[in-house]
Order: sequence, then C-alpha cells, then structure tokens
Amino acid sequence: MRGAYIFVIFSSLYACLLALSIVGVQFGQAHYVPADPRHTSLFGLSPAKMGQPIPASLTRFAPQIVAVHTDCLSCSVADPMAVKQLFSSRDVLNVVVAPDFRDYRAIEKSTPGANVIYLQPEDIKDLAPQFGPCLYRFDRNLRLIYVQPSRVSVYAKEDLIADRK
Amino acid sequence: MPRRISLPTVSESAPNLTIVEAAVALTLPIAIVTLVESFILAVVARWMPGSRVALFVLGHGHWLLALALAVGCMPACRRGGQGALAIAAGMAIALFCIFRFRGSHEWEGTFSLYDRNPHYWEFAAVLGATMAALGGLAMSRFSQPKHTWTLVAAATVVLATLVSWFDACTYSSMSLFAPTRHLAMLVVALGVLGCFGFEILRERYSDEKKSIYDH
Repeated sequence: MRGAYIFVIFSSLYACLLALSIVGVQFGQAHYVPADPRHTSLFGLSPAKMGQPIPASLTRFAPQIVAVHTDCLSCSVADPMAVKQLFSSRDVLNVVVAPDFRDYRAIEKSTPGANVIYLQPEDIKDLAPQFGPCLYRFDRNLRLIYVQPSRVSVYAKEDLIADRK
Repeated sequence: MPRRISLPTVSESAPNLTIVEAAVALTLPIAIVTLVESFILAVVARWMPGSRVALFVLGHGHWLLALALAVGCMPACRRGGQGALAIAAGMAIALFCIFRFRGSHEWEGTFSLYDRNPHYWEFAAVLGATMAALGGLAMSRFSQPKHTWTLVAAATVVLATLVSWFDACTYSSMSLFAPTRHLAMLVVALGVLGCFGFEILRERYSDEKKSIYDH
C-alpha cells in the first residue's frame, strides 16, 4: 500500500514521543537545577530604602541615574538589546556586577562612549538589586529617590530621563 | 486525429518510499530544527556573546531556520508526493517536539518565553517546509535524488542527537524548564537506526530466501 510506511512510522514515533513527554519531561524536571545568573551574595537582601545615600563605591561618579546589571547575558533571559540601549545612553551610569563580564565587555566595545564600570556585588549591596538591569535614581545630594519596581528596563529608563528633563 | 501526449505526474514518476527513506524524511525536520537551535546557542552564548552577530542571529534566527529547512528537506521532497507527505508529517512531529521538549534555544511563545508572540517562528518553520515541498516536487519531475541522500539525512539525525546531548550536558540555563529535547532526539535517532537495521535484516532474509529457491 502506498504510503503505509509513512503512516506506521509516524504513528509509532508520535506514540513514543507522547509517552516520553508525559513521563520523561516530569523526570527531567524533577532532577533539574536551573543556573542562577546572579551572585549568591545578592540573595535575600532587604530592599533599598528611599532617601538612603548612594553606595560609597559610586560616590566619585556622582551619578543621577544608575543601571545595575546583575545577570550574565549568556545564561539568562536578560535582553542584550536592553543592555545595549542602556550602554549607549550617556546619562546612565552602568554598573556591571554580573558573574560573567565577557558579554558586557563585548557590548561595551561595540558601543562607543559607553558609561560602564565593573564592580563586585559587595560594592553595591546597599542597592539590593532583585533583577538586572535594575534602574535607580538619585537626587543632587546623591540620595535614592527611585528604584525600578519590575523588569521593564527600557521604558523605565526613558521615563526617568523624560522626568529629569 | 492528433496524438494525445500524457505527461508523467509526480506520483507516476516517483517510486514508493522505502522504510528507511520514510523514517529519515519523518525525522529530518526535527533534526534540522535542533541543529539550528544549537547553532544559535553556540553563536549567542559561546562564540560571540553580546556581539552584533549574536544580536542579529537572535533577531533573525527564524529566517535561518526557514532557510535550513527549505534546503535540508528538499531532497526528501524530490522523491515525489510521498516524500512531501513524509516531510509534512515530520514537520508535525517537529512542532510537537518544539512545544513539548525544551531544546538549546527557547522559542518565542514556549516555556519561559510563553508570553511572547510565537507565530513568526511557527510561520518560518512551516514556510521553510513548504518551500522545500514546492521546490522538491517541481524538481522531482526532472530528476530523483541520489541514493546516498538517506545516508546523509540519517547522519544529520545522529549528529543532531549528539549535539543536543552535548548542549544538555555542558550548558546550564537559567530557564525554569529542564532541557529534554535530547531525550526526544534519542528516541528519534533510535527509530531511524532501527529502520536501517530492519531494512538490512529484511534484505539479508530475502537474499537467503532467493538463494534457497535458486538451489
């Protein structure tokens, strides 16, 4: 019969894959530990408080807008386009504390005039970033007046700049 | 009275698929999808992380997938209507695997990226297979693929399986969903190898039978 092989192999393959998706996926999920893109020293920190002073490691830059990058780009869902956009913005001080700097260095190289510094997570513990990139705004006395509430980095940054102008 | 000329149709000119050809054509789409996913992962996370090329591949990976499927599946469709049917069924299996088994690259609209629009990835995959079918069917009127295409396609399936296992063992993702595509690829590769073994045994058995009758 024409095409009988196709039907038989398709049916048996589909049955095997369906069984695997029911049994194997659950088994794999039970034994799976996802990689965390953040340093363990940033876990469980109490959130930053309004009015608190800027961390000592950032004082000499006297920034008004700070973006803290905590995630390694190659092992997280962080969007490299958002990082690139923040790097190309001159009025944002980008602080990278990700476990792996290489991806950020590559983006920095391709973004002329990027305002980026690389620090250890201990240096910005006071800001307690829960995700990355996370945006902060400081007033003229370098006191915290805004913390980005959720992962909507690009829009939050534009709002911040518009608000400042 | 003018003589009527009957043009050979696709189904008349192309012989039936063998069991090995059917198995290979059914599994080729998911093998190509897995290889493209591994390529995207390699470019984005291993070879050129954060570079313009990586951003380009992330943004336009679906067109790469369409191209790979169009080129890779065309030899199977050159075997005529049955080849195209097998590739269509293979695409159904590929889409099932994409949505049920997480691979090296997370597709838009699946797993951790479930809230994004998946349609352009699906569209690209189906477009690639359709282009392969149309091109292959048109070419099937003039020539058939070489016999070695089944070997090349089976090697592609085995290679995709090995690559998926390599990715699953060496790359740790932040995704909350466990990578399971390598398990699916193992089932697929075992199916193809099983069909190869079955075909070899059947030929040997029929040769023995023939030699008994000759005596």
